Amino acid sequence: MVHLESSKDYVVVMKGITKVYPGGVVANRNIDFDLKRGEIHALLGENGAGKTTLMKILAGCLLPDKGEIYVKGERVKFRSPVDAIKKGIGMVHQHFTLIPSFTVAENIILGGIGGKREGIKLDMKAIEEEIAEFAKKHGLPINPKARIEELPVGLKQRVEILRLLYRKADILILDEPTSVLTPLEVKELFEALKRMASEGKSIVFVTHKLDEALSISDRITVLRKGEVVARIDNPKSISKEKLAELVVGRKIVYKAVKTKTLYDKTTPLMEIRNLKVLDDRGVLAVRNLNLTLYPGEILGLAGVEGNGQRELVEAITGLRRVEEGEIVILGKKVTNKPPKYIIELGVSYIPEDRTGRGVALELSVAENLIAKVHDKTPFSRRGILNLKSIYSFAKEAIEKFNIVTPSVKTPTMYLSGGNIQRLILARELSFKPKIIIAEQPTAGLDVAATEFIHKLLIDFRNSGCGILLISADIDEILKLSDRVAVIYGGRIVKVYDEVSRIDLIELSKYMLGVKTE
Amino acid sequence: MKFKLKYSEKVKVIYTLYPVISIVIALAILSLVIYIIGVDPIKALYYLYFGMMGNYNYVSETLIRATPILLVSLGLAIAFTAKVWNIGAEGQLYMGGLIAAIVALNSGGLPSAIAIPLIWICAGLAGAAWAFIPAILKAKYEINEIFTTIMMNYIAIYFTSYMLHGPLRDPVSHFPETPTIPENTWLPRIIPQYRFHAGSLFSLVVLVPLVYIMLSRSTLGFKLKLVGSSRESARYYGVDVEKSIIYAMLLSGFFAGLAGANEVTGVVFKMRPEISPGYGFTGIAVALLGRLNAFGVMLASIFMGGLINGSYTMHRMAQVPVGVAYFVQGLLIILVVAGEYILKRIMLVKGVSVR
Amino acid sequence: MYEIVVGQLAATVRILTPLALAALGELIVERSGVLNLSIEGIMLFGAFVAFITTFYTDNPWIGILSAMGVGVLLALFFGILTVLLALDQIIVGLSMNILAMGATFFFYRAIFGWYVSPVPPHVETIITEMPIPGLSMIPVIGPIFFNQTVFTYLLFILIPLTYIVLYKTRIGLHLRACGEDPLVADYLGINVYKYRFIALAIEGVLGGIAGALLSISQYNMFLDNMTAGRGYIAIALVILGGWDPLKMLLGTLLYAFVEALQLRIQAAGVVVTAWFPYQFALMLPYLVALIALILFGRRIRGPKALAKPYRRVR
Repeated sequence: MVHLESSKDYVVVMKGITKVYPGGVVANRNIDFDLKRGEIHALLGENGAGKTTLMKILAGCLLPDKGEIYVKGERVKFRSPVDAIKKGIGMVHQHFTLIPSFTVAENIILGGIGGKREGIKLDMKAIEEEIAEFAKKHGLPINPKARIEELPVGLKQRVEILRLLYRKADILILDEPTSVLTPLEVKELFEALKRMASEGKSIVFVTHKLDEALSISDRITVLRKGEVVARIDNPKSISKEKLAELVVGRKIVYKAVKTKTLYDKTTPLMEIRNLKVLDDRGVLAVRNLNLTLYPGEILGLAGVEGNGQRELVEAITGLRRVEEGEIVILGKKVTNKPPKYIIELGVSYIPEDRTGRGVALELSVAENLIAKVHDKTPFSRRGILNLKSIYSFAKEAIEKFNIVTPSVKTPTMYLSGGNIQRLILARELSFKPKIIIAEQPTAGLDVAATEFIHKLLIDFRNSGCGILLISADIDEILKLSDRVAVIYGGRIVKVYDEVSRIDLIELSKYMLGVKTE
Repeated sequence: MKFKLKYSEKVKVIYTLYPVISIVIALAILSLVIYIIGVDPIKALYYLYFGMMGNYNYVSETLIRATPILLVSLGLAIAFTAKVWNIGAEGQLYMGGLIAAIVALNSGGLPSAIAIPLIWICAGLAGAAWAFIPAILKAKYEINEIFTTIMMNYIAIYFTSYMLHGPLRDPVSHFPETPTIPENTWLPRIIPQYRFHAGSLFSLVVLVPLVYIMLSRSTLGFKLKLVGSSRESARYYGVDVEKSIIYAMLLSGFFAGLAGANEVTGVVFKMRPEISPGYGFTGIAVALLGRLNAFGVMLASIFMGGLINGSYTMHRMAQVPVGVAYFVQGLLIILVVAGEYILKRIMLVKGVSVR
Repeated sequence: MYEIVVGQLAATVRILTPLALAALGELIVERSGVLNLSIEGIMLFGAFVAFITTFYTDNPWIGILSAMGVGVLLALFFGILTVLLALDQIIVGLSMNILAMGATFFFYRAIFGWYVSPVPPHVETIITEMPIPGLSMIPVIGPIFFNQTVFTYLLFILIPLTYIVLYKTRIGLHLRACGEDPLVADYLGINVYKYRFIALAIEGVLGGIAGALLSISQYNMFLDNMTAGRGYIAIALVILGGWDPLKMLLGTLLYAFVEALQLRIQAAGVVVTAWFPYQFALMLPYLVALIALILFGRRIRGPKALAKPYRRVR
């Protein structure tokens, strides 16, 4: 592997890349990575292994502390994503970089890089025509006039890819592109990627899923804890078990044991009938939704992002107004009741937006831990807070849930993402919940933390709790759920009573609305 | 996993002392300006100091001057904690003063012990009522309170002016003002020969600790802090955000109303169009300068009260133009706002806990 | 009757000019994602500096120029604190307004002495109307629109120009992108800092002119806090206009009409004031702004990143 950087076959060579974040976390330690022309290269590793950091460095979003990067034989130093795109490198991030209120065409030309038209004047009609044609040519057709906020998530991803192509990128980095897609859409994406590779584009496919890495890539680089642990030149030669060991660094043993079917259909915990809820734009996002949750079950809600999941959860927890229909929890009608009423019935909610909703960042760890019960004894009496019992409860919770924090008085903003999630869990699970709404509970967490959370959820289910699990990760839904409901267009289009009998392609069709009952 | 926290005590000390540092810088800039105007800055600053606290009488006067500022800024500290930007304290103060005068003039020989609390409560309620309109608009319709409170200020000031020129005008006075209120409604003086009155004492000794406890130890204060930190989280935590916003606004209006009552019953003994030389705005500066902490606000308002009085002495004795106090106040608030946030940011990067 | 109506409308356009100029500047800035409350202070400083320089040079154009200069300086100072250092825009804006009030109050007395004479100092030469030959002779329209100061004409060029730039050019698209999501804009190669600073500089110029027109065109003197909340009203007009220059102009027109009416009521003297006290007339514009906010100010969708601090992390 000498002088790769000057070889014509290698479009990217990264040598000795090291990145340390301001908090002292070493995200990348002396990493070497290379990419051949026309290949699909999987960058595999669990969450937190440093994949995204490495690729953000390659795409000019982050500056490395050490290391050299060569692109097409030339030493480069990217100070911004624009520097990278000018060398043909573009990245599709996990969080899309689209402006929701702008149209597809506007989003694609934003920044003024690539395309035929230049100058100040904006001839949207001509640009839209050009983009429609461009999209068709690349086999990724799209309506250039559509507003991003109106598009399903799969098409948003398509806009991201189209923009990279429009900007003449020939080195594409896709960060966990399948996490928002149904299995069927994944298949389509893989076909598109293979077609692009055959046309000479080089693709880095970032994933934490072994199957995906094995099925699509020409080569695999495995990262663990910020270091390269393996390079696999021929993915067909390696077994999944071996690869799994490389990724995690030890044998995976799933310990959480689900007892046999527990739930009892005679006494529902929560019943939702003919629910109608509007989204932020005032459009019906939940239409005539019916759903029942029983004690002792995990009910998985499968669906493509943006099909009313968020609005449904907010309606249940009292955060969003219900237009029509009703929600009954433990025999009580809670439709349009304030969040407090619903919390006091024993409904816990682990939100997807951890820092925006799940905690108040400026407040201390202790304050966030007791926020939902601050007005109950022993945390306060007659309107005056009892700091002693607040702090002693917080200390207990920190120990029990392994929250790493210098003190209970530390503002929550100093905590890492994983610890913020533990804090949320500690709060949501400490007060004997009867219903748990878990929204993407393990997104972005590493295997150990994910296992920890899965075990907690299963334990609560075993003790008779009803859990509504909303997750974009189909594998997680299939692994944890007793029943699976599929949401599409604000309706439940299918309920599977037996998870073992689910056919993935059929599930995808329900999720995409291709099939309805 | 270990939490790495680089503790920089130095930054923390600077942060704690920063309001004092800002005062020094602001006074330095002031000295320079005074020098340019052609006055000896040492002489000027001496008289500034003298007018602030040169003798017991000046101390008493400083405390009297500080009281309306303190009352306004205690209220604003409550509102700002919830990030409710009540810029309308000036108008709320006017409404409080107006109602205080009306109640006092009609108190018909009630004993002081009943009349004065009654006047104060009515004035507080008047201030709260004036704040209620922006409060409800903010809470229910998300109409930005900054603009509504500003409009309400001018409406209150012109309304007061109308009342003082018209229905409430003292027929024998040359000025548009109410008749003098009966003596039983005057706030008693505490120390013989000094004007220091019960209103000041009550504000300093009772209201400051009360607001301190309310903000740092009560469930209401906790709710306001939550709402200020993140409305979204507060809602999720089951806090009634709309109600909290309304409470924050009403409480700050109430305190501004009290400031009006304080001036009418303790200082002027009547209602005048110029009852407040911008205390409502000074209160904003003071609330931020005192870091929304009741005791901090108390120190800051005493400083500001001293500054206003000292600037008159400086004017009389050293011919420095009036308005110095407002200039320094402007400098201070910029210094504090810019400096504190920068220090906080340094601490954030270095991982120093601010609280 | 003709005289009264035309007079009222001409006064409306005259009053509208500074307010709309300031509002236009604020609109551009807000489209870039910055809420600049200090437009009030910029106007006040502009009025003050224009008055002082005109007082000493007798040339109102120097007054206008210096107001523009001080406006730009203040806007850039606001930018340094909020855009560069990402401080809270509301707190900095309010603080700068308090500084503007205090500083102009003090320096006015520092310059003209502490003795408040019964007749406040005033400037001899002011910015006056510049009738456009021919056009100003057209009945009705002429005196209303074409017998105004040059800044009115400038405004009527700037409004459609801003509209075109915002919606029909790449610059406008990029500016709006900064206001919707600065992170994305930056990522795509739009220099958010540059756009925001340029927008602020433009606002500084327009806000400075707006202030100057108050002190050296509509009046010929400076009064303490003479902007009297007009900066805030300008921002309210931006909100009410839904961040669209044309709709904003419409709102400003209505507001200015009320203010002109208010002046007319005051000028009418005892006959009117007997049953309509002048204080209510003075109150009227604020009342109208408040009512407009209540009726039309509910949950208008503005630039998504408005007033949110943005910091680039690399």
